[in-house]
Amino acid sequence: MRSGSTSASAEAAGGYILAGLLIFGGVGVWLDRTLHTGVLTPLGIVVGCLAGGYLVYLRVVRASPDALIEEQNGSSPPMAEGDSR
Amino acid sequence: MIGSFLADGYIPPGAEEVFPPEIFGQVPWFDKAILLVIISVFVISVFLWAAVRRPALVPGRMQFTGELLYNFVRNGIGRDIIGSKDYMTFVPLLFTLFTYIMVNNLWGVTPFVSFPPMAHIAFPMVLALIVLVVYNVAGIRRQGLGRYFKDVMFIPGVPAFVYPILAPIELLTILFIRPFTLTLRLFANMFAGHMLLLVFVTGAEYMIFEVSNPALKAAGLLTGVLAIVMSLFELFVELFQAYIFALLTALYISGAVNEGH
Amino acid sequence: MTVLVAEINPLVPKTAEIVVALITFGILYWFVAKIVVPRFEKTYAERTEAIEGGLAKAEEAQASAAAALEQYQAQLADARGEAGQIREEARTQGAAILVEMRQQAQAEADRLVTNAQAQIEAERSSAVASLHAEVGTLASQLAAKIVGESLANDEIQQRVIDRFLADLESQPSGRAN
Repeated sequence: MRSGSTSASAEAAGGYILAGLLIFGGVGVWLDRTLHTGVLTPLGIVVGCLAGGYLVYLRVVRASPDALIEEQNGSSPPMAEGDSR
Repeated sequence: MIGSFLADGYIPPGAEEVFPPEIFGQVPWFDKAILLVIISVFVISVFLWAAVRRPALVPGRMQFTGELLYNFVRNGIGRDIIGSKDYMTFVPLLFTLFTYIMVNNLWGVTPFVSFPPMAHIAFPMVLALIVLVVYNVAGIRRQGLGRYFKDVMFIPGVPAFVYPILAPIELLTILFIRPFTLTLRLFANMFAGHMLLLVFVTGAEYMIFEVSNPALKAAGLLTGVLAIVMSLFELFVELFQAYIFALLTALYISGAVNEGH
Repeated sequence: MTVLVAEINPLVPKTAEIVVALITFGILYWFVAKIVVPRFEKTYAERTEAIEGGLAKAEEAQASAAAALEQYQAQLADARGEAGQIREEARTQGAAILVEMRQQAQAEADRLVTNAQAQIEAERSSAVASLHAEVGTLASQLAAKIVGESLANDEIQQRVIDRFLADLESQPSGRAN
C-alpha cells in the first residue's frame, strides 16, 4: 500500500510539472512569435517547471503524513527560530 | 545482419498491427477491440454473478476470489485513500474501473488473442473523462462551486504574488492534465507492450521458420524464450496499470472531497 | 504500409469505440453498483453480525456458568454453615444434658443421703423414746424390787425416773447405746 501511495504521489508530482511546463512554455512560444523574440520560450519552460515543482512541494511533500510528522516533531524551538529570521 | 534480415523479407510490425481489419465485413465499425471489450464485460459480469449469487457466511471458492478482489479495491484503494467517511460512495466506480481495465488488459497476454483493447485510445480516454467528471462533481457537491475552485487554486500560506502563477497550473491540472495523463499512461503502456510482444513473437517466428541460417534459427529460439519472459512482464504491467488507474482515481476523489487540501 | 500508417493515427479515438466504451462501462457500473457491491456488503454485515452474535452467545454461556458456580458455592456454604450449626447445637445440647444429668444424679444422691439420715434420725429418736419408756419402767420395777415397795407417790416416782434419765443422758451417748 505504501509503495502504491508513493507511486501515486510521484504521478501527481509529474502532473503538476507537466501542467506548469505546458502553460508557461505555451505562453513563452506565443509571446516569442508575437514579439519576435527568442528567449521567452525557454524562460517560460523554466518558470513553468519551477512553479510546478513549488506546487509539488506544497501539495504532495507538505501534505503527506510523513512530512507532517517531521514538521510536528521539530515544530517548537527550531521553527520559531527559523520564523524570526 | 539486420540488412540481410530485411532483405529476406521480414516486415517489422507497425502501428497498423494494433488496428487489425474489421472482423465483420458487413459492419465496418465492429473491430477486434470492440468485440473483446464486450466479451470482457460479459466475463466480468458472469464471474461477479457467480461470486455473489449465493452469498454464504463461509464463502465458496468463487465467492472467496470475488471477495478477495472486492476487498482489495474497497479497503486497499477506497478506504485507505479516500478515508472512512465517504469512500463507500465511490467503491462501485473504483471496483468497476479496476475490473474493467484488468480484464481488458489481460487479453494482451491471452494466447491466440494477444491484443489489449486499451491500446485503442478511445477506451482509456472515455474512462479518464468519466473520472474527470466524477471527482470534479464530487468536489463541487461537497464544497460548493466557489469554494471548490478557490480551494484548488489558492493554497493558504503562499505569498499573494505567486497566485497568478500557481492558479492556472492548478486549474489546468484538475481539468486537463489529470485525465490526459490517465489516458496516456494506460494507452501508452498497452500500446507499447503490445508492440513489444509483437516484435518478439513475429521476430522469433520469422527467424525460426523463414530463415535457413542455423545461427539465426538459434537466435530465433532465444527470442521465443524472451517473448515468454516479456509476456510475464506484460502480465505484471497490465495488472499494475489497472491498479494505478483505480488508485489515482481514488487519489483525485480524495483530494476533491476531503477539505483543507 | 506507409499508406496504412498515414491512415491510422493511434492517438485519434474511433467514434464507435467511444460509444462502445461508454455503453459497456455503463452496463458494468450499473451491475456492480446495484447488485455486486450491495451483496458483498450484505454478506460482510451478516458475517460481522454472526461473529458478534457468537461472541454474545459465548459471553452469555459464560455468565450462566459463572452464575451456576456461584449458586453451587452458595449452597455449599449454606450446607456447611448448617452442618456447623447443627454440630454446635448438638455439642451445647450434649453439654446441657450432661450437666442436667449430673445435677439430677447429684440431687438423687443428696436426696438418698438426706432420706437415709432422716430415717436414721427417726429410728434413733423412736429407739430413744422407746428406750426412755422401757428403761423408765425397767428402772422403776427394778427399784421397786430393790426397795420392796412401790413408790407410793407418783410425783416422787416421776422425779426419780427423771433424775435417772438425766444421769443416763449426761453420760456419753455411745455408752448409752
